[in-house]
Amino acid sequence: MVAEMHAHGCLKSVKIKKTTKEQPMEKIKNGPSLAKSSAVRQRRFFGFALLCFFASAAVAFADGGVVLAEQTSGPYHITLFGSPSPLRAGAADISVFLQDAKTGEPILDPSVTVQLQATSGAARDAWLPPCCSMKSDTRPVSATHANAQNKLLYAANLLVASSGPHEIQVRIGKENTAALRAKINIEPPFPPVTAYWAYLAFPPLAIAGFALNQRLRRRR
Amino acid sequence: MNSIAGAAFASWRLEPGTFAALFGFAFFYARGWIRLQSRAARRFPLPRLLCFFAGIAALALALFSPLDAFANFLLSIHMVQHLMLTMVAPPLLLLGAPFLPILLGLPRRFVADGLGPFLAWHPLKTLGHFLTNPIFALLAFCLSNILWHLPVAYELALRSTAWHRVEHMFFLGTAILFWWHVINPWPTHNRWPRWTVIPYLLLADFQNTALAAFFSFYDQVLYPTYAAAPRFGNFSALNDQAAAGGIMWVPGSIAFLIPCAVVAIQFLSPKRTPAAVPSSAFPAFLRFLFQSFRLPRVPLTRLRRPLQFLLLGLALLIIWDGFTGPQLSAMNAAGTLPWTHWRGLTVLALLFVGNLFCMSCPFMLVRDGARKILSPFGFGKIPWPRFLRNKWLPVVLIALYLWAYEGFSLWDRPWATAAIILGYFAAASLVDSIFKGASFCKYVCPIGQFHFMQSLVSPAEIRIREPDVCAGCRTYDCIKGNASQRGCELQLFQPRKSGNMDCTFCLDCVSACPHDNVALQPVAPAADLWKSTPRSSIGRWESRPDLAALVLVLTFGAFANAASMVAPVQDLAASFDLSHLAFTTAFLGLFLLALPLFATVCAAALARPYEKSRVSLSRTIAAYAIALAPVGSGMWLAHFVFHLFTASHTPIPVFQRLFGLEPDWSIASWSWPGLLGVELLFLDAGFLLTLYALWRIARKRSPRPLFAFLPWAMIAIFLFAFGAWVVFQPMQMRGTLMSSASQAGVPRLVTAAE
Repeated sequence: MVAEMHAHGCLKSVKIKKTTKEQPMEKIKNGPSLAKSSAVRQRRFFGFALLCFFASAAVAFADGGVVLAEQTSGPYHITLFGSPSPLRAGAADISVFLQDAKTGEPILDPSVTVQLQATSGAARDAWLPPCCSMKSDTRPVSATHANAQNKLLYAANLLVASSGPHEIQVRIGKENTAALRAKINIEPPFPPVTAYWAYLAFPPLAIAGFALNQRLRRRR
Repeated sequence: MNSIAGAAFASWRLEPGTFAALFGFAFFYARGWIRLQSRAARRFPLPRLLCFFAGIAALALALFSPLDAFANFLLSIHMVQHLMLTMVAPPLLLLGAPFLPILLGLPRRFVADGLGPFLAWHPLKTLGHFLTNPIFALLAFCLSNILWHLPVAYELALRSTAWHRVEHMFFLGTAILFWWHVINPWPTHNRWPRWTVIPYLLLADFQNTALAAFFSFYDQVLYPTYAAAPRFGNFSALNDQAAAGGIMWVPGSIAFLIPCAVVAIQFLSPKRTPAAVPSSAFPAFLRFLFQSFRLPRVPLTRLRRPLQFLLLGLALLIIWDGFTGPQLSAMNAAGTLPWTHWRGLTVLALLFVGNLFCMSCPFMLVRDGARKILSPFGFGKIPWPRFLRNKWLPVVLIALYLWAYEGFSLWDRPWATAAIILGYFAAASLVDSIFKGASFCKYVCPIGQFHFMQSLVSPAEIRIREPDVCAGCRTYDCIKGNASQRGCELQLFQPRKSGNMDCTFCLDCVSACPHDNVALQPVAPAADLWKSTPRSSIGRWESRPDLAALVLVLTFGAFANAASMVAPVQDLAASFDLSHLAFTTAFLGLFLLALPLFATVCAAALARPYEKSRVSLSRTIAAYAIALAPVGSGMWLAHFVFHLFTASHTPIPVFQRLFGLEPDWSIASWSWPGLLGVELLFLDAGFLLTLYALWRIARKRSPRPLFAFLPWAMIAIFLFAFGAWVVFQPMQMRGTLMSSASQAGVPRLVTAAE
């Protein structure tokens, strides 16, 4: 039994016909009738479109973001990451990587808290919902492995209420003094249209695709 | 394994969107592959399926595994991830020859009407032909590889998630094009002689080797991110870079040279007839799996009463707490449960299943009880007055409710909420004790009308299974009932019923049908909107201006209700020298009356000249206005889901208080930054569904559908744009301890003492 494609210019009519006689694959592959037919091109395009769609599924996820500060404090070597880069008012991911200062081995056991506070000169921004309706985190927030994709990191998801100069502190264990202090600048949030452009662009694109679809169908 | 290695290997994260996409591909491929087994088993043997699945697994490994988690730490790990995307996944996917299986696996209508016209479109076919040209593919693959490894581009990808995605898309996309010429996935054919694959692969390998050598031997760290990244032990950034070069060099070259050798051997070997594919039990097993996978049949008829009792219990609790509890909405069951949770869960149920609330309506339980007591005394026999057998009364009630909700801040008055619920019980019992059938549900209940309208876009419907069974039925139990079961009280005759309008999901017809031919079944959402056939007990849309009015009030009401809670509208209210009630009256008068009337009359007047047959303005409005229901549903969903998630935990301290425990008012919520995206998606979906319904109606009613469609589309566009603006505004956190948007647009935290 061999599959033979019957193409009538559109995929609606693509059918698989059962034949009783076996045909060699090469004949089907290289046969002049099929090679010249638009159906082969059509399938080639479909295959291409389909597989390019795979590419669109291949997304990456930033974990940890960029290094904001690095410091050795007592037995620990602390690296602080922030995402997005640069940090903006709204939701932010702050990650901490703890290492043994001598050996460089990752340390996973102690509890870690991070605290982000605005310093003088910070401006309070109207940030986008629903973050604006959530409590901003100015008190110490515990950073955990569960929040991180990379389980060697301690991560905390913070809500940053304002832009401008901020100070971030990292405390390890039950110590009152911060093991790491760093000054960072928080950028203002993106305007709504920029931040959510994909959601707003989707309807016009869908409408354009539908209009083209209707036009092509009418032509056929 | 020590704890560090354990933590490293546990660094997996499934991203739902990508996972759904990969799962979808695998599912449709498997479905199509099974279908092909009965038609072209030889062309699609088991190894093809395995190759495709292995390709999907390779993508999943690259994107969800610790390879992704450590990509920002170690260039060598990042290199492995990129090799998976360029050298492993693409050839495996192409070896699965995925086009035909996926085409056959997708819904037939989608392929025929949705994809078909594009696949036959000449410019796109030419583009596809050009892109799969071996010269272009080789150049694209090599250039992508080189350019993305330039420090500027690579750093951009490392610092931005969006650019990282773009980078991966380029890698995978160009790799698919590159491997296309090597694999030639069936049914495409070689454009160039087969031997050209050998120099093609060697040229790519040459580029790969040169780049890998550069990484291996360059004496400075190329990418600042890796220079700054914390190091593991003595593994310096430079060593990491050299290791990355080695990975690119050796496994990368092997990936090019193995197919090169295979092609060379094929080329030098005599041609053989393909051997017969041995029969395998696997396709049968897979078919069995697909056929046995069915959604479990939920015994909804048995669930109804328990659900009604549950909601009755909650209603009684709300009434009691509303009258006796603290009169602050966030602290009272009457301030949280009905306004936030019940409404949010109801619209979600309507979106995913159907009118589940009417099915479990507690008012009906009480009314059934009242009717049972009173019917021996001759009550419940009077037919509902003829002049009220329409939706005008509920239209007025809904408008009144929306006005009172905002004007008298019903949401913030637990006693008023309790009084409304109590009044509802009384009204339902009184109306249905006096009048026949479910007159309250059909002609009075504003909540029911809201659910009827929302359920127009639901994906399920109570409908007949086999029309032939109904054609042979002479008892009509579904509407008349029988000795043990009453029929449809809303006078919906199943064989002629279409859509969810007026259906309370009471399931009486399901229980009454002696042939078990009525059931909850999946339907295309909103498909009923553009059907012009007469419906049982409803008629045609165009002959029901009252239904059009209902849809318009609920659609425009959705936007007005949400807008009245956002900071700019509240600022606007403050800028007028008007009382809150007067402003609300003016605002809702504009949104519920003036605007819909003006917009629909204008749209109908503009569309009418293009109608096939001259009909009255009101019939034109009624025919088209029903299509606005989805955009209204989208706004209700966006709005209620926002409140549901931002106030998700508010009942916890309320129940703690009710049960005599110490309430913990500092509760968390399920609010997350991506919630706004979900709201916009609801709006997008409602808007597009409305446009599609309008287009289908215009096509049916007009020889020049575009001209009839455009005026109505303008209304939908206005509503969508307004809705998008509303969801971007800070919104009052009603029913929570966060309330009242401040002047800066940021909500003020209201303490319990306030």
